[in-house]
Amino acid sequence: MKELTKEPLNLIIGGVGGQGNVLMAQLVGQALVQRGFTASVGDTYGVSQRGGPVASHVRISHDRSYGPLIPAGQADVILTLEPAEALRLLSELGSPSTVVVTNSRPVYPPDVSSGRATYPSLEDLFGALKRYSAGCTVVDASAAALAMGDPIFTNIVMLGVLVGADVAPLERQDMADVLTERFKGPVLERNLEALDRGIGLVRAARTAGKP
Amino acid sequence: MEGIDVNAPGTTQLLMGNEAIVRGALEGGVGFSAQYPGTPSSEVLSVMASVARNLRIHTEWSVNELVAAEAAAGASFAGIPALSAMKQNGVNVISDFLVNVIMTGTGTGGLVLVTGDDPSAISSSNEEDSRWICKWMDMPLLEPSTAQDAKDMVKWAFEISRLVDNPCFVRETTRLAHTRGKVMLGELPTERKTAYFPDVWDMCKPAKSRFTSGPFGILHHQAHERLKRVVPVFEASAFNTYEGPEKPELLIITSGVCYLYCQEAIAMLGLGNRAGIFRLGTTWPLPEQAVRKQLERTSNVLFVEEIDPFIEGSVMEFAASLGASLPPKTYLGKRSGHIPSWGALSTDLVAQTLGSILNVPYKVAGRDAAYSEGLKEATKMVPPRAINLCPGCPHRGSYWIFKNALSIDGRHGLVAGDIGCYSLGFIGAGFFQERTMHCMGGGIGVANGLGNLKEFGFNQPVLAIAGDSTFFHACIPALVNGVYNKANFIFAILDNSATAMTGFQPHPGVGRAATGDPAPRVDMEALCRALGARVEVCDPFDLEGSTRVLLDMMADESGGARVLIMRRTCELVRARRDKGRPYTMRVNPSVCAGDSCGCNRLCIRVFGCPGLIWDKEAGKAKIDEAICTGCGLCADICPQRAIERKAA
Amino acid sequence: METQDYASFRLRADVIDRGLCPLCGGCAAGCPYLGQQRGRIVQLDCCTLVEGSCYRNCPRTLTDLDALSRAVFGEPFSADDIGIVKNAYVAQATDPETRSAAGGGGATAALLRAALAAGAIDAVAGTGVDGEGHEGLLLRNLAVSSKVAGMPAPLLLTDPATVVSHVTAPHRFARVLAAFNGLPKESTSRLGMVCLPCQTASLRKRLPNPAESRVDARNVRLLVAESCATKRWLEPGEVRQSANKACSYCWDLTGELADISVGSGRGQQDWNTVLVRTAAGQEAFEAARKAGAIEVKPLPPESLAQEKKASHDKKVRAVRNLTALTGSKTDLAYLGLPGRIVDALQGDS
Repeated sequence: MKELTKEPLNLIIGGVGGQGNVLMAQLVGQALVQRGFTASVGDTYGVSQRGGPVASHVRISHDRSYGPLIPAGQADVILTLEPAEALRLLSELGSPSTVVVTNSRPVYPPDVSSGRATYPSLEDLFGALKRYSAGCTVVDASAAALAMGDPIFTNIVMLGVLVGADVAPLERQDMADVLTERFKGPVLERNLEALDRGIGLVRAARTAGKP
Repeated sequence: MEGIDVNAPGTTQLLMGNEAIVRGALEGGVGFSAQYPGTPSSEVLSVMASVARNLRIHTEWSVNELVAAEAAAGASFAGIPALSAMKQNGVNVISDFLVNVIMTGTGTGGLVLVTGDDPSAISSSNEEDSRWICKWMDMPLLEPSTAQDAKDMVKWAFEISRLVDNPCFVRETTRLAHTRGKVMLGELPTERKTAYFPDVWDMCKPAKSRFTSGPFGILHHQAHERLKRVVPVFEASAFNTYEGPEKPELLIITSGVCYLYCQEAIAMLGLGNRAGIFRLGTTWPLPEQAVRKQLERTSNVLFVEEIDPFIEGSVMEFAASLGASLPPKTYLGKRSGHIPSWGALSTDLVAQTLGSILNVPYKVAGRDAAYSEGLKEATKMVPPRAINLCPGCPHRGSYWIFKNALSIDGRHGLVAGDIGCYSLGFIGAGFFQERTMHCMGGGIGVANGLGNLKEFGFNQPVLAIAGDSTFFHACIPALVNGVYNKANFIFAILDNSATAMTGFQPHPGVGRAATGDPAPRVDMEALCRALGARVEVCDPFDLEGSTRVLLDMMADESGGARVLIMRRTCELVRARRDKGRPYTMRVNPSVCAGDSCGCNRLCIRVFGCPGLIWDKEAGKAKIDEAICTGCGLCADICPQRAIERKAA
Repeated sequence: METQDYASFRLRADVIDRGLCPLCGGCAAGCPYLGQQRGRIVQLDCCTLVEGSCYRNCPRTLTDLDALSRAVFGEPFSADDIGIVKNAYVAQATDPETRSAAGGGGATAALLRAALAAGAIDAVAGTGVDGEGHEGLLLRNLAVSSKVAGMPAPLLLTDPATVVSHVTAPHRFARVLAAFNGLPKESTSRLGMVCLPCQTASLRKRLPNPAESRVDARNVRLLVAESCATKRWLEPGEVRQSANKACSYCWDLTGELADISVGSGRGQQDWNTVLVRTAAGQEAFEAARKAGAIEVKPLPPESLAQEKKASHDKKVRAVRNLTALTGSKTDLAYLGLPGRIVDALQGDS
């Protein structure tokens, strides 16, 4: 997508503390500003980073500044590194016109592992996400990162997914530019590879007939 | 952070509030910055330190906020503009210094204190509003609403401080500190200051220095008077703005990020011609004439602020003082219950309140009843997500050792806890071992009390804990006290070579300064030994050996404080340093006993490392390779030896 | 499920808090939650299982002695005062050093060493002290492995030369069940061991349902019980008072469920009274005699009579004390004795 189609476009990037949410939001914000948009990015730092739910609110505008938090029902895009978090965010901030893009690999909270709570089946989870949104794209970004040898690349893969899903005014070059500003040498190469794998994942998901 | 010191006035950058504060300080000519990490303020010093060498300014991580504020004040006395940022608790810590420095004044440099409050205590042990200290101690207070504000206000704050000859406070909250917004940069100063302490002894005309507090009554009076100097400046300030109709039905008085919530709420409900917003950027002293002018617009006032009714109270006090000369009004806010008296606010909350006051029902955009009900029902499948210690965290090992040792000992021992990642000992992450937790140094402090109740039949083992950074911050005096007053407790220092919870800032024990340069390493072990305490050093991953040492120390009836250093590098620090994992882990499903007698899911139900998950189909535990960091500790707790550990 | 339903908590309520726990160690070391330290059964964390070996194998939870007797001997519980006995002897170790180490006949040590040397068993489960090796043991429980110098630790002895010192030591009973409980899953090592009567009952309680046990109790091929006497020592600092009090509820002087019961030779300092009860016990006894490890004499009738009286008196005391504990003649807490035997014992008290 080249142009901004809504004013503001509200994008929420969510996941579990420790997955690299904050870096993602930073890169997205920077890329948007370099494209000439006005963006405000509100992150969660602190204690939630220890495995709690985290989310960054990104509000994209042509030239206006908006408050740090997306109001209820006004998320246009929910992009998550963890599928249950997508539903949690959808319930807080979504509406029938929200588009959801999520990584498929669960991160099990302590209550689930200990047997005190259950994690829903992925079928139920994706079903709910589809039913209460304008569409849900599911990709296995974790698998792509593990295939690269380190789950740490999951967040950059999801940046590629964001680009490939075409739900925000960002193209591959925009993300490649901010990655190049931030990283160097072999680390940069790997991150660019992760970005491209992400773009590829969405293409594959769409070719397979998923929305 | 690259570019925060760029000399390019008029250009814009996307900065988070904390970064904007740094830019504002640089534009204000800051030469000295000292801080102790505290969410949401920590990034201020980190970012400042990244440009310190280039700009030849001094930045340091101080051992605590008190030393930081005192140091910054010292720089100001010597004519160097100084900044110290802290979280709300830091304001409490520096209060005794402040109450004295307002007696002496801060001199020609200028002292700006930034406080970062944490509404809803998202990353704090308590919730509090630090603005009161300004009213209490006659200090000017500014509240930015955006990153741009933050930059402009901090720059201005140095001038204000010099004007009133006292610290100037700038108060932010989490949502300002960590939200990125566009900031237009201003000019950087060209002049470089020289440091000199002006008020030295003149043997021909000996006189008390103005930097010593006394005579006290008169100086308190003078502090009141000096504050008044800023009133006309605040009355004229462009940071206090009104937008809306001339005579609104409802006047909203607001500050900080709540301003943005109010703007968005009014737009959402279409109340632009019914409600007006008076945004106060200079919150104390109240610019009374400006406030009066706004109050005269209407008879209905709503105060929207975080966290306490600070502005609400000040305005109502002022209004009451006007007596009959101000027509009566209806004041709504925290006192009336229209705005919650605790917690963070949001656009939604403000919209709901406005809707109920102005009779415009607030509906969540785009949702009908069927969607809301259906989604609410569906969301019940999402499990709660408690926080946990990271995979590989040494504190998990430490708490396992404490739990087992205290159980084996059997005298109902307890852990008196403190502030840091290990605070998570108060929930399942640390097996609920932590039984007290208050402030920095609170654990060993409380232990000094519990440790001197022998006369009353007290015989429960007391284990006080603190991290390495907390040790330097607050615990040393309490440890001296424990040795000197022969308090019976064991002080366990969880030394993971990091100030981890706030973002891995260095401290005196790690050998690195804020700028990244090498720094002298204070030897914690030698320091404790020098106090005459028994000191043992253990590895939190050596479960058997450490439990044994701890049991031995608990059995030691000789009394007096004794020190157990649990030393192992934080996993996140180690991973960054070593780039690779020590082990590859695997649960052998044919050996794993899972739910049956002899195990009952010990590794996931009790031990709880997030790298271990339950394979429901197989009925066995499993390693989650997307989370496991390969630390290897779980292999030592599995009762069946089903967890295999292979050197990577 | 509430806390009071969990097996480990029921164990605490039904046995430990009622003062019945003899510290046999049958519950401890079988899992990561329970251990034994300094005269206490220690619980390290909350096991939420409602059914557990800790409760099931405890000799002081409901023990159906008829069922156990059938499992061990193929016969119902004997009304005879000293239980089922194939043959009764007086015996001593032929080796004078063994007798000296034992401070008496040394028959137990001689029997176990001979069985190990002959390859009839693979190991002797026993108790050592902190610092000795623990081959073959999982040390599944930190309460077991968090040792303090001088404290007892579970051992598996595979070298016959090490048997005598461990099996005659004053602390020999302290961790013998921990040694059994700590075996790897599905171990098939054939074991010999010396136990107290309560420990014997704990091991035998696993027999009726071997599938429920992690380690098969049928692996214990030679179970020698020694009479419970005041000489038993579990560990330094053990509170003798409470151990004695719990022992006042015990019915079993000689270890009636063992393969062989060994007691002091009444009036004969250097000899032991040996009651052989099972075929396995008889086989081991004969093999030891043939190998010259033990010297054997017939048991004089008056000695047997003394044994029987002492055993009978202990049963009478147990029934009386249990009745006092529960407040009811028909409620004997853990003791599942056949009714006719109880009536006789109650009549005698």
